[in-house]
Amino acid sequence: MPPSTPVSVAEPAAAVTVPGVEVPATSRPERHLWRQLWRRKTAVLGLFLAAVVLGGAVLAPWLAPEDALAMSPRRFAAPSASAWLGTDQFGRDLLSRLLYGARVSMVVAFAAVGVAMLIGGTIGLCAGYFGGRVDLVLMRGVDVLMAFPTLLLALAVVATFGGSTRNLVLAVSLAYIPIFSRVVRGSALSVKQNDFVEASRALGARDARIMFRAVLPNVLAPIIVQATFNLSTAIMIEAALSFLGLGVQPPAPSWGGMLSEARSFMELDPWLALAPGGAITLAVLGFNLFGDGLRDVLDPRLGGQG
Amino acid sequence: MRRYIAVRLASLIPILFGVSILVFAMQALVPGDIVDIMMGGDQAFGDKNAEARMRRQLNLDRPVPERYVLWLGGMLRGDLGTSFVSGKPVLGEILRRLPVNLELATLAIAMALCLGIPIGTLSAVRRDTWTDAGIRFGSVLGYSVPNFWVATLTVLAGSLLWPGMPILQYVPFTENPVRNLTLVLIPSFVLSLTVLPLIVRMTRASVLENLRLDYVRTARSKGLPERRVVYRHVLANSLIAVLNVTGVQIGVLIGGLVLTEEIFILPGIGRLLLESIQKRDFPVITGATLFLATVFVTMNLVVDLLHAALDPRVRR
Repeated sequence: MPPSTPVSVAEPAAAVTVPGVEVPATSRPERHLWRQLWRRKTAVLGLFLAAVVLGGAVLAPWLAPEDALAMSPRRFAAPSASAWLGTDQFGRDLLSRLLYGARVSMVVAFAAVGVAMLIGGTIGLCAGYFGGRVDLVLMRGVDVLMAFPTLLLALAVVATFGGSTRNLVLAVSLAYIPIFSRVVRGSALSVKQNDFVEASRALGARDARIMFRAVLPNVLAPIIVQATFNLSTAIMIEAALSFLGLGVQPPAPSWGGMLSEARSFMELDPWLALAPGGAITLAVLGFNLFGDGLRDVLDPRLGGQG
Repeated sequence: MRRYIAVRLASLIPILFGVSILVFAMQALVPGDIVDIMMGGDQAFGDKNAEARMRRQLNLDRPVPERYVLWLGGMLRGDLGTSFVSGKPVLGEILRRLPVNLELATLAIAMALCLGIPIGTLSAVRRDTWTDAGIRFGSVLGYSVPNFWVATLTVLAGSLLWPGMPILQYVPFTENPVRNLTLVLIPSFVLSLTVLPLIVRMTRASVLENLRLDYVRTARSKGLPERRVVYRHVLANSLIAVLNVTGVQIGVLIGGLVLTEEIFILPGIGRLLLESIQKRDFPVITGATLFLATVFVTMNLVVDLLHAALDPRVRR
């Protein structure tokens, strides 16, 4: 499949290849895209919610009124001017804990999706581009990972290696690698058929160059859409694992862990169970709504009626 | 069709083989020495002879590939190993708890389909009305709410509003069927909420897609009432897509079962898995993981075969 043209031809050809190759990627100007997105009310709401959670996570040290671990004698305090959301069983400020909990949630979600996108994307790109035996071997491996329900695979990883932020990232990304592989492979297969891929090959570009300069820009849309949805489910999986006591270990605040601790006290103070669950819901909802909007704008074929 | 079944069944073998390697690798990768973990609380701790005996028993004195082959041989004979904690065979423990999972999962899927298909159809038929908008937003909200939160709040609501509520108990079906069903009903309904939103969404999308097809115009133009067109023709054709999404959702359901069993304290395989994770009872962890993955793969195959049986185009 790789062209047998001498290397010296490939280099000057590169200058010619680039403009020809980038046309499909830039034919939808970004400004147009944002305007389309802006017109969708639910997508804007989603972006707003996601931005609030992300902002809370980044700015937690400055926004939080108290230290998330600082205990005080004011236990189970009701929401008031000094503690907006009240305090928990150790007198810790609930709002501060929610803000720091957002950090764990966002770090795990973004890191896990990033890692899965890189590894899964590369696997999918190679499988789709090279086809044949490469495709067969890579996708068999992906099939094996797909054989585990997402939460079960993540559960097995943290059960083996123990609960920590790093292991949570490992667990969630492992569960997402097959998803990205499949999405990218499918798109790469169809992009490969285009004339501009054939053209850059005829001009003597090497496989790696064709893959990253010609094919990759054209599979970005489905990758971005998939990543947005996976951010929302990653938040959910992280929360579920921490809820089961297998994620971030207490006293460090995490939304799932807070909800789990609240179970012993919620009859006394229902607010303790309501707040962390509400935070998870808003974060997940934000990324889901934003993802729906992105999908409609970027890739209408994926399911316009959804 | 027979050929299709054979091909699909054969494709299961390499996947299950890979699954077994992965599960075994996890067990082998556990940080620390498994014998130390096992003997941590024992009086025999530090006793070199006892340690050596245990190593021999667990085949830990042999090279890893040989251990894998021995382990796989056991699996194929139905020997999933022996629990470190209870000393009982793992397979027996799993099978003893299986009825709980089967009951919960079956009820949850049945409830999700019985609610989801009518709601999705309604949404499609009333396209672009307030009803449709409400149902669509409800389904996005539905899969954004963590199910374990809903379950926790259900338990909370139960204990606050109805102190004698039959919850957080379990009685086997064979012992007292009526009591069993009343106890399992609420957890099943909560579990069904994990798959309901996608069934609604898929039904809506599929009904809308079918409404645009030629056969609908034919049915309408030969004078069939709209009700009959929708319920008899469109819905029947849409159900194949719904079947597919239900198959995909089995994985979500298995994950949801683990959490539901934990929160409602039901003695299923999910709780067995969690308990053994807490006790670091690795034979049970690997056994339960392998079992659930096998169930998942098999269920997906069954859904694919059903799909092929209903839709000849799939068979090729």
